[in-house]
Amino acid sequence: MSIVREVVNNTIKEIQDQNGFDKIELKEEMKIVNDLGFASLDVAQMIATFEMELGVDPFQEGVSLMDVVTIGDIYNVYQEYVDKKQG
Amino acid sequence: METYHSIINRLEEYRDNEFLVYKGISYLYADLINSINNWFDKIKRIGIEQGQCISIIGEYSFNAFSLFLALQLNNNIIVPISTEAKHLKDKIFDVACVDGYFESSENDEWNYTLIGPVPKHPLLNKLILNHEPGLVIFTSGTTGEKKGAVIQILKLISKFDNRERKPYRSLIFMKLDHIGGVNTFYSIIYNGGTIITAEDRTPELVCSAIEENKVELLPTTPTFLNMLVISGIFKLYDLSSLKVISYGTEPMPQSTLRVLNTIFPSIILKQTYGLTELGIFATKSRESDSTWMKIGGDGVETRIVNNTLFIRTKSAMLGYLNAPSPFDEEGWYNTGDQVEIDGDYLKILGRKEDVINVGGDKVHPAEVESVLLEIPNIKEVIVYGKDSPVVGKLVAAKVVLINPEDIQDLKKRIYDFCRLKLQKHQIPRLISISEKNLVNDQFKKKRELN
Repeated sequence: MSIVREVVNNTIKEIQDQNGFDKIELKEEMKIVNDLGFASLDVAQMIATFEMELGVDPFQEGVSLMDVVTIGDIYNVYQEYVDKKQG
Repeated sequence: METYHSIINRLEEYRDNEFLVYKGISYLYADLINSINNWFDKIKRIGIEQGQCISIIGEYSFNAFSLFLALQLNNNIIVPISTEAKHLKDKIFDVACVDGYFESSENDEWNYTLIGPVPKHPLLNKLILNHEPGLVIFTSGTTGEKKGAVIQILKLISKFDNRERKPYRSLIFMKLDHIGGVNTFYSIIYNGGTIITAEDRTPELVCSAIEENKVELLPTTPTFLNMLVISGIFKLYDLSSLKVISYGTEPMPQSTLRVLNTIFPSIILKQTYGLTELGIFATKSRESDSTWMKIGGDGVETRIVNNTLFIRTKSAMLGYLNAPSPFDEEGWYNTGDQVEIDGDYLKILGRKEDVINVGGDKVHPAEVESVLLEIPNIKEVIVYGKDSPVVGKLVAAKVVLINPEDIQDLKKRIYDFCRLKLQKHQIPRLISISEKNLVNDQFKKKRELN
């Protein structure tokens, strides 16, 4: 599994655990807000953790919040920016 | 009573208009007037006298609104407390000299509990001697201690007396113990508009309420709008009734404004500006996609000193119950907001002091640090605001440990401890471990970590 996927999955699971939610299998098509039940602070924590762990902040580069609705969107956006940074 | 007749007469003009949709039930202004009169009689029967400080604990409901207005007409000093803040009630009662309180239960029933006659603060006595109704709203202070602001209701609503506004169908978003919620409430009823309530302030429930009730005006915060965008939920509902979205309580990121203009091209996006201490002001945005605005209107003066915004206004509070007056000798108030100027227009950049604005809620680093230092194995800590595209700022903490510890275990311990002592928005969501000291040569905390 790529580092990006690992960080994303671990972070999401950490927040679910923090909220006392049941552990569910993560799927790419799941929506962060609707399916995972994340509130604004959870989403904010998730994005801040990605920045800390992966060293990239796509939103500073012009990525919109509209582009990260599903788990799959998150994998793609962060993989792109991690690749750019390493490239 | 002069006040009684003028407010009731005003509401009578709209008696056939729809006043409120609450839990799917529609209420007219005629229903509101009847309910106010019933509550007024009940207040008298209970023995609540003019000038007493009466708290209302609960959420929006038909009876919450009519009770609020009945207490106003009885010249009481109202101390609203939302359910979220209920755990602070004893402290609030103490500061606000509360004589009794109404608390809601299921089915919009409200029960009264008498506390007893309580000696009054001089600011409250001013209202009592003038035979006028008042409001006490609590706001965060510089040390995190909540400050009770005493507000003259008649001054607050005077701006609605003469001005005719379109009677919008408006969602009420901020709570009644927030100056934004109070302002929205009065601005709607003074123009015969309709209040729509949502069961909760999630994107799904708000969009559902907008669709079902053909809401025209949504007063909200940038954080909520970010969540609306990120969830994509707006695509699942018919929001075509919306004409205006107003936003305030925290700075609006330009990127969010751009996205909103793309998603909602025909909706007017209007910035509001206000403080508990001063009220909410009429503003004029330069364009719908701009955060430049003019702040002003009758009785509002602004001046900029060292890029900091000062305001003087007739609708300012009388003062704090538990803190010194923040006004200078000429009545000017230092908002603490840093601004950019372009002719008559201002752009709010954010606050100067250490206060962290998390989605409109203020967090004082010192208060959070104090809690973190109670946690075993934490030697030193610094709390700061981390920029967030979702909530503006997120509370983050850098800690120095006594003994090494796994970061995941530490994060969990910190979160579980803080949940019991802090409100959600105060809990540090980003934790890092530092090997070095967290103070500079002058032993001042090095907060600029972002």
